[in-house]
Amino acid sequence: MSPGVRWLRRLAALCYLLLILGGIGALAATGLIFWAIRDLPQVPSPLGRIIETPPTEIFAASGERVMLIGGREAVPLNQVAPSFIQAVIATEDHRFWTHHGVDKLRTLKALWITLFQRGRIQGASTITQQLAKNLFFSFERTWMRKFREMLVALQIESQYDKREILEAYVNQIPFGARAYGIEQAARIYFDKPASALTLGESALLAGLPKSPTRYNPYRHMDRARQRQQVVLQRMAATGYISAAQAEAEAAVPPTLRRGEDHLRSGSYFIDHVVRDLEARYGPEVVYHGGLQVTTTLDPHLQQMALEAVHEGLAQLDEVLGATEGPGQDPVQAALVAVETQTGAVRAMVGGRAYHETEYNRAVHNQRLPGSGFKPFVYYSALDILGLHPASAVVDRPVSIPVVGAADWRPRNFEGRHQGRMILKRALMRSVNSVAAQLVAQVGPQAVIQTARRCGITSDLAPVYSVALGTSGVSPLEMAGAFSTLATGGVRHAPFWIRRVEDARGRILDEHIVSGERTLDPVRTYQLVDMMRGVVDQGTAAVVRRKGFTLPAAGKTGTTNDYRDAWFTGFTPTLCASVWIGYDQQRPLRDARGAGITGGRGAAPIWTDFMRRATEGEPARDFTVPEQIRFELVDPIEGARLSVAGPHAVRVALGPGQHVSASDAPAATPPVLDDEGGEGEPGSSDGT
Amino acid sequence: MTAWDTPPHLGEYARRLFSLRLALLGLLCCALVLSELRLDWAERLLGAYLVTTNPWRPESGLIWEVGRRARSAHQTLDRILSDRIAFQREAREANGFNDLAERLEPEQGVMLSAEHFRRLYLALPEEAAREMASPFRLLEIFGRHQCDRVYLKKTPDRDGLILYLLNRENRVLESLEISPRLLRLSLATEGSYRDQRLEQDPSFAGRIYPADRFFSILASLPDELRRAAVPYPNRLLEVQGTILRVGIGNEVADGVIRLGFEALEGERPRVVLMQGQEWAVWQLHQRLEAGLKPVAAGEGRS
Repeated sequence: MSPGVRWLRRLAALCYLLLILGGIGALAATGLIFWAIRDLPQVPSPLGRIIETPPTEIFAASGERVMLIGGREAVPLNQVAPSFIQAVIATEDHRFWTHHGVDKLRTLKALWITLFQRGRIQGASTITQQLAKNLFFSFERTWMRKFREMLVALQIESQYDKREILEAYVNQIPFGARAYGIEQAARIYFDKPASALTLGESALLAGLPKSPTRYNPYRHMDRARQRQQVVLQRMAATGYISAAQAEAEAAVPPTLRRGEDHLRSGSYFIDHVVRDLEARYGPEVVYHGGLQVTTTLDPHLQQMALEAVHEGLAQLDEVLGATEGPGQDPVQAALVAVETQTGAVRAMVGGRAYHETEYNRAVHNQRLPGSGFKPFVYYSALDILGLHPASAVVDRPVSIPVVGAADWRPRNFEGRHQGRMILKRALMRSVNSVAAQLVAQVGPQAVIQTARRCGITSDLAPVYSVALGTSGVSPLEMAGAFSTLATGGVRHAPFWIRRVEDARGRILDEHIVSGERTLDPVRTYQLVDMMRGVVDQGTAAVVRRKGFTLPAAGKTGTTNDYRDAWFTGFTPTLCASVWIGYDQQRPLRDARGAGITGGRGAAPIWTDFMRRATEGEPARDFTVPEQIRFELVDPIEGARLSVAGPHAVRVALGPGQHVSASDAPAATPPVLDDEGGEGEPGSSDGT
Repeated sequence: MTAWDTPPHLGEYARRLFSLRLALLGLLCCALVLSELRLDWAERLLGAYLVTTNPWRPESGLIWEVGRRARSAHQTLDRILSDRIAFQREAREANGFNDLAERLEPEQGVMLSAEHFRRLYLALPEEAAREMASPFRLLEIFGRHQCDRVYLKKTPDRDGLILYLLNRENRVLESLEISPRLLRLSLATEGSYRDQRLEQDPSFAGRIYPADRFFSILASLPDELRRAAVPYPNRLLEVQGTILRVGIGNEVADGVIRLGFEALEGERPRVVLMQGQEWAVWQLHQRLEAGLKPVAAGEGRS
């Protein structure tokens, strides 16, 4: 046998072997197909069934829809801008119109790269395969999942025409920012329907599904635009547009919906609503039940709150010398605005930026309110001790014995004492020593009880220092509690969901606006009048300096070492609480080391917000109970003044409460002593 | 003969290589591959086959899971709503505030129409109605403030009722409280109904008597005492079926004692509750005790 024949024989044997192996391979592939088909998911008919689940819709109080949860907002293909369809096809699957579910050439190429080029993985999914994956499969990366996905894609192609497939695809792809489907995406990012998208906008959106987080234009506009350019180049390469068009569009910066958007600006509020709904009905009903939820959110106030917080924080950043960057802990802020006459929460900002941190400081942050808690102490003192705003007290060093612990020696903020003064001035100047004397008299439980009657629900430690706000509360609680003062002692529990209906409009829940009188109207008015002094001439005088002129009352709060700065204030109709501080409880100090107080940090934000929120509103005063009368008194001794002088203080007196004449030595109520008993007037050692 | 798998020389190989059979086979293979590349017939074939198996395949995967969750969510909502509707229907059937209070669970509330509230208010004894709310105040609320609905729930101590008169915006125009004493007064006129036997109410334990005996003794009493013991006899005349037994409550509250009249409406036992003045019921009870032992279920007048 010649060598040639021998060689040919070997070659033939090899061919036979390959044929046998090929046969076995074909049999194995057939077996694999039948094995994979066994539990292959059933494809629904019609394919549009994917959007049958009605979404849960959340509405603002004005009726404007602010969010969709679950469900899809599907539009027919002829209501989608052709430029978007071209952009998607050019980017995701340029042979979409010609293949039958699988792009074989692209698949072979991807297989080659994945198998033989180390470290590289090439995707080759067609639009149909992506649709199959999104509808039926998890995101685990296995060969079997990929194979099954391919089989379903083949079936979809056999069962539906290309337009149906494309329509289903564009109506369910995720674009980030909780937008599923092109219609939602167009509205969320550009505030327009999908049919009105321009070429540039279409290209930007078509680039998002690859990685909605990475290319989110609100967070990473630079990356989103780079991706947009890639899409435009693909469109040019596939002949949908010219290279010049692609270049021209790439040069135009996209205009996103202003102020991010309502969805995002209201996200802290909406998150809170969604959590509440989950607690009431369970997540399944919230995400799949198609609820219609009407909230108390006022989109305009929400926008104003957001702007006030952003601008206030920007100014604070300058004062604090803050630098942006990864690893930085920026100063945070929270703002809650409550309609006093109903308890409806109208606006809520839970932090500097929702997309940076979703932790809602307006609701979940239990931060010390500092002197912001003093109104509860003063109300208790008016109620229990029979004091009135002109009662003389002494600002002096105090030492309050505590059972089983060292004496409590609270210090004044300024570190000095001012001696005698009337109660109203003590609140206006936020004198700690006086608040300490009052809590020693009434007891911490009384203060806690007053706080509870106003609506504070957080745990409060029954210790003397509760008077100076040493138990954590949230801005939402503070706004709700001060609203009780604004209404003259009628408590309306804060609420954020007005009505919940099912998809067919049947009512599941509706809020009843009921108020409960929890405080005495006369004492409450006296307290409110004292708190007006805080805004007009006291620690929050910045409110007036910044031009807010409507009748308003409030109280600042600053905690030890400037870790928290608060201002909670109200007009007769709207109450807002503002907190600022660091998440890691670092001191708020400016570049020179001076601390940021509630009056310096939080009150300006409050003022900016309230000025915008009440713009055009007529001045409306707090309702004065019939039994109240006003007197002008001397701010030191509380004696009546017959003529209004520069230092005269107007006080509100209740029935049976009197002040001495101007030449009389002192006001009638006694001065408080260290032990909590009643001392003789002038017996203090105040400076 | 040449073995098919071992051609002996190159010529044979060449002959076989260029044979018509092999050429046809090669062409067929090429045609298959090219047509597949051009026409996707394998994909179509497989896709068409998969379509035929579709109905028998499982409803699994994300989209079906979402569908199941949606169905479950709707079932939950339907359950919540049907409970609510059933309770609202029951509330509409209540013939007085006391009856409503009996039906309400501690955390449950019920929304009444303004008309329904007016009907219940008018059914109250005059004294109780006045104490609950001045009719002039109600006229003002219903007229000027356009009270639309009334929300009713139990007071925090669960003994009384609290009513919120609401306008269209669900704002409370007035809140009214019905104390336990007012509810008892209400019971005196409305006669509360319960689908049960007297034994099921422990307050009647050991004080259940045949109705014929009760009514014959009642008939023998002076008119003033009769009216004090059973103040609204018309309520009993309205009962369908025969009253078999009467229970006398063992508690005195605000000078009144509860009476239960058990009747059989078809096969269903029903108890009508009413209140009598303590002094009158006491005398009646003395006379009942004097001549008769209490009876057990089924021993009453037939």
